[in-house]
Amino acid sequence: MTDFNKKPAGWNILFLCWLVAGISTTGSLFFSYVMEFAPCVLCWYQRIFLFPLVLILAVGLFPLDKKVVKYALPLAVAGWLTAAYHNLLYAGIIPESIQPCSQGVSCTEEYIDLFGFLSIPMLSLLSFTTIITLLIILYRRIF
Amino acid sequence: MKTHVIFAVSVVVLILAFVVGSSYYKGKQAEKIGFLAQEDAELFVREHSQTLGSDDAKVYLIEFMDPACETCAAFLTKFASVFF
Repeated sequence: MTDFNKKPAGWNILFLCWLVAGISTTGSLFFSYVMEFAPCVLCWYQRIFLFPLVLILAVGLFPLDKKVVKYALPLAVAGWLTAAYHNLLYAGIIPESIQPCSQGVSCTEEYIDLFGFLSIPMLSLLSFTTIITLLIILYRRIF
Repeated sequence: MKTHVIFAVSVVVLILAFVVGSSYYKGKQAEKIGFLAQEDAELFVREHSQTLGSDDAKVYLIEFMDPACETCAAFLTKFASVFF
């Protein structure tokens, strides 16, 4: 007899993926609303790619839908590219003269510096990397 | 369904973490600012200052006044009853 209460294959991986997106979103909102760090332009773009993932991945969990990878991956990759660019700018590898932040908060504003290397842009990059990795693992598992 | 429970609990935990975190953070900020105000109080409250009311009041209203100032005189004529 089939056990209807058993978790479908890959559910845990997708859940973990959603959790990463959820924690990152919560953290981002905490930074901007509670600690009152104003987001710069690049931060806004990364948020645009990150926040929908919380909803899309959640929808893909009930019931587990393989196609969620197809819808989530473009957002995650776009977010990753923006975060990578932001980190290069933050590190000074890309000169500020060609960066898009002309008005408002500077994209190289140093808000936090944990353990000597974790800045907010770095946290964002790590988050997107984790999400993409988990989505790829999920894809290989269930396709 | 067990999956629903795991998900619901996670959402609740995330929201709780945000709320608890923000009240903790705001508390720390209030402490910091309150402390700063105490330190600077000496700048404004001198030994020879006239005071009215308790020294331990939560709010200090500090009056900057010049006896030769016409505006001060006009202001106090109208609003003395509010403060004194």
